[in-house]
Amino acid sequence: MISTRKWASEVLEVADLSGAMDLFWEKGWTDGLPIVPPTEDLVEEFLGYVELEPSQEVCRIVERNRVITAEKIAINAIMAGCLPEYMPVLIAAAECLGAPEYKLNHIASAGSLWVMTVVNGPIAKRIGLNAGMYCFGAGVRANCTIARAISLLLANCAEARIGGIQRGQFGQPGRFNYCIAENEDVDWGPTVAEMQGHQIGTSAVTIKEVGLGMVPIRCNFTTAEGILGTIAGAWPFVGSTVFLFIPPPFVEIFKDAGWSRDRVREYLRENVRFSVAELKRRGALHRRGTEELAGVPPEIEPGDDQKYVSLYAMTIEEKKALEVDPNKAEFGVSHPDIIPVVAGGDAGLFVLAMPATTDWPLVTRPVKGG
Amino acid sequence: MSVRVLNPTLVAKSGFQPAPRLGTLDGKVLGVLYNGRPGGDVVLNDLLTQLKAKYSIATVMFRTKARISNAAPEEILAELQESCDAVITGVGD
Repeated sequence: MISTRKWASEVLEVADLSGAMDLFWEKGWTDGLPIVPPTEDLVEEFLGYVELEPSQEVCRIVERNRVITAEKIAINAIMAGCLPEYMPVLIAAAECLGAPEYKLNHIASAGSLWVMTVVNGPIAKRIGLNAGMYCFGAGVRANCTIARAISLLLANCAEARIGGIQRGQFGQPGRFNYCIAENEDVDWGPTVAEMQGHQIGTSAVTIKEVGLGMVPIRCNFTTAEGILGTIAGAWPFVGSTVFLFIPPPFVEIFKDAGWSRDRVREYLRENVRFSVAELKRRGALHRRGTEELAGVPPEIEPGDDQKYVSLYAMTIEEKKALEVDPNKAEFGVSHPDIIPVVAGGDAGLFVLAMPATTDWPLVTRPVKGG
Repeated sequence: MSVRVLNPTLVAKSGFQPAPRLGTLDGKVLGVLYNGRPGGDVVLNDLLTQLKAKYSIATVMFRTKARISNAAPEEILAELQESCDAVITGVGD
């Protein structure tokens, strides 16, 4: 049946669904994987689920001078393989992307940053969003297709793609699966959304751009101090906001020992530190323009390996006195800078550290009807 | 039977009006906003050298962002807007 709807989007007529898939590949509208062709019927169904008109403006991406409508979100959601019931999450995610406090351009950066999406509240279980074992892997439709839909939306509607504004040097596999639920069964509040000021028990979507890299830290101890000591000692990132995904068995240990999320955060802020020698080797201590640097690392002085910098806890003045890179000197006043999130499998064994940009805030929006 | 599908892409809104072009930099106040990325100062200073050779620029106001990742502070943006006839900035990452 031919729809009588007048769409803002161009309507293309192709011989069959297979032809539509080929066409989208040829046009560069996919992410390299086959897409579900966004037929008029499907777009109607997705919009009907959230009771939005196609022309409903959901967000403005100011940096790209684009207005994102419900129609475009539905089209890209269908392409990704989403179900209609994922649309409320995608609408909230788009609202985050268009929020004034969200700075979009970093997702095109050489560092291959991309959007990390965490969903809180009852909608997560309703749509089968995984917070447990293999939550960052393949196999769960909600996790993979919501992440993919956000990625396709930004590629097709904000040029965040090869050939557009994308300059990521290695690329970011998270474009396909950086969407998880937070595990709220273990009751170790406040959750990410609650930390952002949202009401307990409501559904919300939080986004933050994350860098290329996730580091599993194997924790062999079974006490709170032992686990946290390992994490602090193996901290992989020199100065950034970090998501710390903590599996339920470790959360139970923290809870039994009376460690709240805030206490865990403060411990890590105090105890994550690097020697001056290490910072010099990593090029993180001194900030220099190209004229001075010329590719030569600073000299490691005697005693540098006994002097330590707590990037999260030292004051700006203390770090500037050590000539810590100004991009890291202000780190220590941004909040939150270590973000515990409960996720992962019941075997425990690892926490997962994932770096994010330093002091742009998390952005959270409620899920309507969530 | 054929299939009708919708285009997923979006173009930028039309109607962007650039500021009036200057024609020359002779006698003008030129602002330069450096984002702080290593090497960016080399590029901008080289550009300034070339522009000064070509034009009699009255004043150059060179401003540097404190942090590469953040927007320039409002004070710097306001100063450049109020004081300059033109501003050069760039993104190199």
